[in-house]
Amino acid sequence: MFEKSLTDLIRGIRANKKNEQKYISACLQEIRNEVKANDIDVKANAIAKLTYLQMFGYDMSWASFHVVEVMSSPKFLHKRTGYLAAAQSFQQDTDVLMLCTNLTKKDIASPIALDVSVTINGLSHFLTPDLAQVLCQDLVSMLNHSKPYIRKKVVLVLYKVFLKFPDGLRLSFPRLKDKLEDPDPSVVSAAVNVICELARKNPKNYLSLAPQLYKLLTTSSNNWMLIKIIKLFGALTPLEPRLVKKLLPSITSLIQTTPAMSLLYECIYTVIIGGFFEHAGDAANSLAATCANKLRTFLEDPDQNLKYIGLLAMGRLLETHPRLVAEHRDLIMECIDDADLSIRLRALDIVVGMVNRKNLVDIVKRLVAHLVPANDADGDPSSSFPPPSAVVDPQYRADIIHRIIFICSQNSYHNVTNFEWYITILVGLTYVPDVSVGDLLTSQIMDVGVRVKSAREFSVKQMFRILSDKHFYENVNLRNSNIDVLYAAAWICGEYSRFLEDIPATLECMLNPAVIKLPASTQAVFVQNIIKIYSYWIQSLAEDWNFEVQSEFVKITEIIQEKILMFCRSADLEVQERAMNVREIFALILERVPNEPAANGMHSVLAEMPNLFCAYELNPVAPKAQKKVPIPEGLDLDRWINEPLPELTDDSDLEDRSLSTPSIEYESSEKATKRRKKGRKVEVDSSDDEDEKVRRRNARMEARKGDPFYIMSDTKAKSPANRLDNDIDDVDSIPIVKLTMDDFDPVGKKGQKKTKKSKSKSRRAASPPPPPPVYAEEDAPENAAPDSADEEETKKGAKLGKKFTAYRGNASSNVFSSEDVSLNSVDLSQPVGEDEKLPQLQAYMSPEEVQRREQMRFKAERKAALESKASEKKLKSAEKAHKSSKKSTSKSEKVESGKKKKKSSSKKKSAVEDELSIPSPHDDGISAVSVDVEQPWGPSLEAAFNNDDLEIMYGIKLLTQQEGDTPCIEVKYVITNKSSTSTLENIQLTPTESVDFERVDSDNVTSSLTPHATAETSYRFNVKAAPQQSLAMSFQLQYDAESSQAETFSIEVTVATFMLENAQLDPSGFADMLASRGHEFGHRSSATVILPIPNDKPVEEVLMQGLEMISRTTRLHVVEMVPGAASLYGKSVQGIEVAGLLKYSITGEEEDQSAAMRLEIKCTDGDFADALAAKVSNMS
Amino acid sequence: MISFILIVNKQSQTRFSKYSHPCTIQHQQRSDFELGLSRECIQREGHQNYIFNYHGVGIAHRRYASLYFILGFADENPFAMLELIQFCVECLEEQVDRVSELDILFNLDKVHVIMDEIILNGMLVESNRKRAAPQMT
Repeated sequence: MFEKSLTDLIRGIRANKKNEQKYISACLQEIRNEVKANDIDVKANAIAKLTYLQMFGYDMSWASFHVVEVMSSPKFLHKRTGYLAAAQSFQQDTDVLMLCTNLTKKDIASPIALDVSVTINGLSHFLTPDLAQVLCQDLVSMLNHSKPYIRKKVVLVLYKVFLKFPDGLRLSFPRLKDKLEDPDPSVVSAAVNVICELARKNPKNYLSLAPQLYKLLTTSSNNWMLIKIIKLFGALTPLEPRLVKKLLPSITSLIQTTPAMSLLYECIYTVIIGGFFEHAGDAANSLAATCANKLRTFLEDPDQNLKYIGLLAMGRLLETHPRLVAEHRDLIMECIDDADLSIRLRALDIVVGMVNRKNLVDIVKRLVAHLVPANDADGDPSSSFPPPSAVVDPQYRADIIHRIIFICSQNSYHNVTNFEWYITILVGLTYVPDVSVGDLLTSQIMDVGVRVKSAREFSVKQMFRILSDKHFYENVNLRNSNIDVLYAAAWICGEYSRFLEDIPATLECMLNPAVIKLPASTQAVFVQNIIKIYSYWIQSLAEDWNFEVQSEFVKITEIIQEKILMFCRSADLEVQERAMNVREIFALILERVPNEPAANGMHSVLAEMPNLFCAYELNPVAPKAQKKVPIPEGLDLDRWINEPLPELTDDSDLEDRSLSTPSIEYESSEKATKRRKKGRKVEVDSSDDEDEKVRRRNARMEARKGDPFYIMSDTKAKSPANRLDNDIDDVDSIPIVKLTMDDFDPVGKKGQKKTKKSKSKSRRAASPPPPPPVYAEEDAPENAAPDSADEEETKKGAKLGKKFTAYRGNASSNVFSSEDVSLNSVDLSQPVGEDEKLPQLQAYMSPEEVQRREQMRFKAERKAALESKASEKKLKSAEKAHKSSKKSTSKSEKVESGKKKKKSSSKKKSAVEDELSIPSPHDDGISAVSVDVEQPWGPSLEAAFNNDDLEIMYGIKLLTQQEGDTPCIEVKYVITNKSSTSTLENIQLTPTESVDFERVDSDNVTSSLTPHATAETSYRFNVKAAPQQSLAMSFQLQYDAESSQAETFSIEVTVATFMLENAQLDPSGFADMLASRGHEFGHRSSATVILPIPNDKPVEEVLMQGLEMISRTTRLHVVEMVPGAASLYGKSVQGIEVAGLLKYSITGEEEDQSAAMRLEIKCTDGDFADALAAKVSNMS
Repeated sequence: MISFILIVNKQSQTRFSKYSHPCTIQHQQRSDFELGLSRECIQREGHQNYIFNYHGVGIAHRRYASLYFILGFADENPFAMLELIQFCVECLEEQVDRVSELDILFNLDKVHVIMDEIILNGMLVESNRKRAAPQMT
């Protein structure tokens, strides 16, 4: 009544802006109470509020069950609230989804369109594979719903169904296909949408739809749909290029006429990515030009969105038609300076792909301009730049720097002609504030320094400038700085110290106190390079060594030695160790040198110094150096290290091919070896003598024997002997292209020469100043083989160089891509087989249920087999058919019983009773089971006590029939005087006092029995104890025969005693109960009863008896009988519920069969279940 | 596929959100994502384009008075997405005269219903405004 409504909640949150959290948690607490309310309105309201809070990130998974409750309300408003909450909050693993099966099944079959719509909306969010499987059939049949409003939604939700249940696609695709011709445009559009999504996963399945789609393309005017259709064709054309010719006219006309930008863009984009240019034939060029021109109008448009999209498409066009894109360079370059960062980035993507030698400098200049104010771009790089402007964010600038370096360094600096310029750029970049690209710049500077001999002098100069820039050291404390570059600076100055102009000044720079703030790795490099520079200095001084020089030298050395101390105190071990080494060297020098007269020239210690550090020049390692390492003489990789295992010797062959042919490298290196051996005789190779071939082949076979990774080919069928004789799979006979030295070398060399020439040419052309860069020789292993693969790759590389290599930033994965791989594997080209059917399930299927059904199906099959057997038997034993049994074996009556079963589900109670009242076929034969038909739950009598004088039978009956009351039982005794002569006097039966049972009636009956007379007494007790296995009641018996006798006996009060008579359920109620409260039945137990099957009785009869016995013993009601199984249900007076499943299996041979009936009990109480199971086990 | 539709106000408060794949992100993580995204959208000024890429998701957004309509998508035509936002707003206006933040706030269920009529399972259901306007109960 007084609950907050959703509006109140929203108002409340707005009113409590200050302590929103507190208010919301108070509300959540209220909601927690409200969802438990019995009133569905309150509950729905609470769920609505919860859904609102869920939007703000509050967890509502705890209320899933209540959501289902609200969903199941018949009122539309509640239903809507419930389904909305479910859509927003349910996950695939939400367990209550299992309860929704019947609900959703019912709701989508609702006659009210809105109900269906709400259900479908919900389903589209929380559909699980199980639900999909169950609902697939229903949804597919709804494709023919009379209302287009429903049809369109069903079509769309089917996509989700297919995602979760890929088999459904195969089975229902024809129906979906029909929807492309639906009279309602929305339905068609929905179908196109779904097929478009499906085709994205596996386009080849949908090629057959091309005619229908084409028709839609030419007739429809719905742009939304046209976009999808064109998208769909974009996925199809790569598979079926002939489509292109067909589509071309309509798409071209769309491009030229449509006013809708989205459609225009889609057309252009599809043309670009759909491979239209490749297959359009003559029209390709004009088409490409049209596209490029349209894109140009995009770029020229003031609308930023058009620009952005145009650039995206341009980027794709670049991959195939770089020249067309290059025509619009001016516009693209303009976009680089656009105010919008995302446009800039897209433009940059294109620019990166457009770079060539001619425009590199220009492009880089523009990019650098983004990093620093324009006037400083080419200015003095060492002058500190102003602080970063707020507009340009650091990430963007880091990205720009990465791109600059990427475009310059791609293909081993293919586009860079002037390395001095590049070094200037790199140095300039180090001064860009507030970015952290130091390591990248460092590696670039070092790489260029090492590779390009001609630029070394320049780079040393530049590095010296960095080293000597005092301001630069101040950056060390900044979080984002390129301080790492000092590493490269120190290393280059040290390595190429011969280019240093002023060595003492350099050393001074490197020893400035700010250095110790640098990272340890940089410090270590500093220390090492100080001594390198120093040693070079000694070398340079050696020529005119005199006293003055010496004293100067000693002075400087002393200073250095003093300063190096600061490194000795470093916390970093590497730095410390190096510094100590260096210091010791200085100490040694200072100890020796001043004592020697200068006239003697340089001291020998000094003379030896340079050799320590400048022994040879360091060269870059060639990229393919590793490959070129020649195989040492005598190393045979094919030879066995250990002898192969004998048992694995069969099958070989295939690998020869698979190993050798596809891999060019392998082949060519083999060739190379041959070449080395035979020089120009390679061509003769084909005519190698047969003996040699056979010998080698055998050797190879031997070598391959027993290789576990060796998979046999189809040729396995051949006998080994055969194979040896006409072995066509022999490596030597595989026709491969013969490469001879004559063919080979000229091409390679010419190619190389050509490229070199063109390089130098372009360099010369590239205006006067920069001299051609001299590259350092790349280090390769000694006597490396100039192998063909290498040269081939060089050629390839040259080709690749022209090709666009995309710059890829840090691509983050899409959190929303929830691809279902299994859908991709669905093949629609195969016709649907007869055995493939949509699953048709009527009821709720919990996993146990599914398992049960599986077993049942198996049983049913088995039973069918048995039945045929039984009917044969029946013929033999027709006359013996049991008269007293209503259940006859004859076929017709069996059918009747089947009908009865059906009736039982409709007539519920009566039917169940009907089933149960089938009298036991064996009457008095078995003592215990003397049954009162009228009173199914009446006490059956069991023997309690027996001696020579008398026999006592007892029965227990539950008097209370109301759940929750204190259970009251009546114990009835039937006392029989066995003697034929004597009369028993003073028979007295007294219950022993017990805490478990409380006597209700008080009078003890004393009676006397004449011979063969029978007397009955009954006692009533309230049961105090919980029902459990060993609940027993003791009695004292006294009577006078010849003498007074006293006996004690006890009877068992089984748990079955407490079963309520009226707790019966019909099958659907039972299913619902398990569905809604299945989790309460957590305790399990099982028991098996073996029933012998006499030859003269049909199996059915025995089974029915078994069922009856079990039902009688456990006092569980039979809920439903299905072929092979029966479900049972019972409720005790204490409120304990039991669900049982009875199954059977037939074992044994023809004549000696027995039926094992297994009762599986699920119960809300553990002890109860065990006790019940024990009871059943002991039954037989 | 349309991954999500989000309506936020100028303070980056979520006013409406609907995801096509509910299992991807949850609770706090989702709120953080929405916050980050809406900040990004709000920061973009008028002259910037409405289409961009956020953590690998295509984003189209538009501003209507104090409300930002944000659409996340993958493999869709970005223009069509922008038009779709416009279409959604038009449909909302069928029901409410001028869509304001309060209208959305206090008629959240209605908005949900309208959006459900337009987008289902990440795909467009109905492109006809008259037909998409649902029968309100």
